[in-house]
Amino acid sequence: MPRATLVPITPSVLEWAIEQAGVEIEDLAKRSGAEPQQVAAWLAGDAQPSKTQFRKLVTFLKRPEAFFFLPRPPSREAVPAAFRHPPGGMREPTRIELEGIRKARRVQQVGRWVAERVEDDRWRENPIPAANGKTPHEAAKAAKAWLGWSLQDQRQASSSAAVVRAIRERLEERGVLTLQLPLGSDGGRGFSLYDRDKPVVAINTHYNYEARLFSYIHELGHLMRRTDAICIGFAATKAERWCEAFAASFLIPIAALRDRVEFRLGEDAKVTEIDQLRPLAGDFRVSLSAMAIRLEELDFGRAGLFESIPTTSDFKRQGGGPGTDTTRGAVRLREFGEGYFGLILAGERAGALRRQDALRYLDVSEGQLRKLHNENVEPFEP
Amino acid sequence: MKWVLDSAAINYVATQSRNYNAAFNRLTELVNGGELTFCDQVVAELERTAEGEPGPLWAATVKDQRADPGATYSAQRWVLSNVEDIVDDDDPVDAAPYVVAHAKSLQDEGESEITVVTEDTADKPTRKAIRTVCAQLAIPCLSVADMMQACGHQWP
Repeated sequence: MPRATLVPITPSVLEWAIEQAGVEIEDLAKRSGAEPQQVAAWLAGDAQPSKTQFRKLVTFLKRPEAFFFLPRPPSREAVPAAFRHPPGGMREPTRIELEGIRKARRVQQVGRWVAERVEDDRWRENPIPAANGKTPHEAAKAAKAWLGWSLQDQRQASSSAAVVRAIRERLEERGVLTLQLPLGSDGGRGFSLYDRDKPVVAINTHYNYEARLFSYIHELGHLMRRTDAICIGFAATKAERWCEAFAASFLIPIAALRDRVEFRLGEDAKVTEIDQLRPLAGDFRVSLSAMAIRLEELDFGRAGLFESIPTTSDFKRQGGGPGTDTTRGAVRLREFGEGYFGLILAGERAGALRRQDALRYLDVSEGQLRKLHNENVEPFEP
Repeated sequence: MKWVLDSAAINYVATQSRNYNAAFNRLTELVNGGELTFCDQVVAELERTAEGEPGPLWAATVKDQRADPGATYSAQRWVLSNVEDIVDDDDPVDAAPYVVAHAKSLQDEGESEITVVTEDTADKPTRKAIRTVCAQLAIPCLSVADMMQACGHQWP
């Protein structure tokens, strides 16, 4: 029987890739068609994978084959340690979340590099206001002024999707890169990566538009606090609670909420039922859970209102809406945002990036990019 | 003389040549004569970045006529032990490290005058350009225009 070709990987690089991907040895072994003891031997440098096992492990870990021949692991972590082991008793991120964080870090790295070369210095002219020492209410006021946002933007928009598009656009206009990633039904609502030049917020598309709107503002709160954060579940730390209060104050101001409660239920009335909650949430384009928390917090709703909401109420309905373009170029544009697309194309126009590089960083083909161009999608307009 | 092409070079032929059919015909002759090759990863990268375009169509058509499919693992290790930042850690389809390693493999096999043909000439945020790395490793490297002229083909 001919001997299988063995692949001379670097054990410490494999170990690093496994750790950064948040993968269990047993899972990797199963996906590579190997026994866990074999993987342990690869990691110890006592054995090497066969070509077939190697190809499978490379696909599973989503790294280039050549990566495993590096003499040592990269010095830069793919995912910050604070994300892999979050504080406040929050669970560790899922594999899909870790992949999303990797993707966002890459977008940030490439975006920052291109921004320097095309002299995109929006952050310098109009930086994100800092939260230092501000109450959530004060910070919300500063953020609204920075974004040029008013309650009318929420109330007069044609749909919740339109409000989300508007807030995303305002953030991008001010130099924040905004990603919408499928982080899974068991994934967090979003995360943020602070950087003075190219801050990033990423939102989980598993949630509905109302929940996404709240998450955008919540993540902006983290950027104002000048910290990276992954937001898993409801407020578990002081910073998370601050950002929840900040987003609530931004989107559901007390005076406006009091007016709407009185208008819908009468003076001094309290919201006690989900059916009463629904129109109020619609008034502010926020999710049922965000509205319930705000009502309880301000004593406009009965205690326990939030617990009465179905846990899946913030999830979006399955399947894209009618007319949703599911071609790869359109999907990438929704995922990466017009800010990143525009920046990469500006980099190409300025000669900082070659066409091939621009295509790689946007993860689209020439034909897909041409299709978006022909459809006059925003970043392509002169 | 043997030429090792990268994906940017193949795309460049397709987009910059006045008559890409004639240019690709010349490249096909060189492949058939064992004077030109490219690695499997180049085909995969072309399929992703230029799906349906003349470059990947040509590569797919002639790939079975190549004398060899790409770099050995030992050549890949050698390249990466000398220049770590030729690999883009997060892009499994980027062919750059394999192109350089392919040239190194052919050198190791005793092929004479191996030259990389690339339009990947500018360093980027996630890795060095192929031209930069070839210079570091003393592997000869030319542009498409220079290679075509050297092969007696009128360019563009």
